[in-house]
Amino acid sequence: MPGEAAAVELVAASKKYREGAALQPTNLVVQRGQVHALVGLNGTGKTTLLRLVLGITAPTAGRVLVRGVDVARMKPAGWAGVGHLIDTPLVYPELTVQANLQIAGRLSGLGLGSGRAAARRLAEELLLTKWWTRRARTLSLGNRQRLGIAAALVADPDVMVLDEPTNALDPAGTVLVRRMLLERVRETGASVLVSSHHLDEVARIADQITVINSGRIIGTLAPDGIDLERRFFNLVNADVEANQRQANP
Amino acid sequence: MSTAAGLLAFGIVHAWSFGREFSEGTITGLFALPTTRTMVAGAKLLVLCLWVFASTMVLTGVAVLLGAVLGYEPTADTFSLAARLAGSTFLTGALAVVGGLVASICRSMLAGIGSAIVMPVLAQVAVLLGLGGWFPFAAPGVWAATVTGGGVFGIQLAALLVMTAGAASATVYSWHRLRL
Ligand SMILES: Nc1ncnc2c1ncn2[C@@H]1O[C@H](COP(=O)(O)OP(=O)(O)O)[C@@H](O)[C@H]1O
Ligand SMILES: [Mg+2]
Repeated sequence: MPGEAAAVELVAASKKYREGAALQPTNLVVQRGQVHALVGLNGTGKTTLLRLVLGITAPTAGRVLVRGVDVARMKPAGWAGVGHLIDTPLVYPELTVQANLQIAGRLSGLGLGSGRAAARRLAEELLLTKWWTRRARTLSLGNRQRLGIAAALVADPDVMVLDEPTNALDPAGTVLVRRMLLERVRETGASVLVSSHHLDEVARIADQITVINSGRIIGTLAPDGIDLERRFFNLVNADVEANQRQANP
Repeated sequence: MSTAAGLLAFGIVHAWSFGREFSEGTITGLFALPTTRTMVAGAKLLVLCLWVFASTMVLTGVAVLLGAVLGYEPTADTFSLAARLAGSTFLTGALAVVGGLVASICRSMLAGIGSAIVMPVLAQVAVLLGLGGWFPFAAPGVWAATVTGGGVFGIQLAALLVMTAGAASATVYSWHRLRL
């Protein structure tokens, strides 16, 4: 029953492009009420995996489930409560911060009134009220990314899928986003699947850290452990060396 | 002539409306929502249709006013001329949905704009070849230039409307089926 199912589950899901495999058959479970970080260097398949979760790309093989429902058969209403930010934020440069957030609210299924209220609340939470009537084009990169995060979270999603959400943020912005995510997870039991190319502040709050390299999950890191950075590179380097040995034995 | 410019202008706006989501990368944000891409594409078409209608009214109004200012006495013909101008302008705008279709299928704003440039060129070629009103992209221009009516006109108009409806449906369908 969907109520009991994991927030996100990949079952031997893979993606192959004409240019080659972007994601090897992968199993992954994001438990409800947890932050799950997907950490790997650039070009290792993080975005591909998140795109599969959201049905942006169809898996070449395997299955992807969100709240226990196969994404390939997801009804539109089933996406309510799934907030996401992949690649480019849903931000239109010629529109104001206010208009962008209200549109995001409407697209996420909020009514006119509740959409307005939610837009205001998220702008406050992400410290965007100062730019409320400014066009998004005129915002700094960091502020635009905060606007993108606000748009993704405007309908108070219980499942959040975020692709490197803090890569343009300064330390204060990163801490802010970290606190927001933690609040939602702790207070409402929401789940977060977040990617990062380094062990940033957000990855460090994860209940589970999965390390991905060249399209494969190569291990997990205990989040409370010390020396996270070193253990991450140990995993990646071991994988790189293993691949090299395989390539030229 | 004016319909060629109209086809270009309307076509570019249609291509922009659909193509920008791909060029600017916002398309990924339109997945996994309770609002389907079918609805988003349909809403875009509706807004564009209303915009074409409003532009038609403004253009026709300006033309009539300009005529009055320049001292042309309004005659019985004035009304039928204005109606023909309005009709051909609106149909030109309707044809421009092809620009949005090309942008959607090619997932590129530039491809859509390219098609908006090609459409009036093809229309000119069709007129030179004598195809005239039988080629939908040339038809509004032909109808604006000459008084037409009767059965042939009806068939040509039907062909144009079928093509427009087909392009609009194909656009919505391509958004429905879209996987990146
Ligand atoms: N649309 C695509 N077509 C072909 N190859 C792709 C496509 N998207 C991603 N790839 C390839 O898949 C691999 C993983 O990419 P990606 O998932 O974007 O990595 P990451 O997000 O970890 O940086 C890369 O080698 C990339 O070149
Ligand atoms: Mg990426």
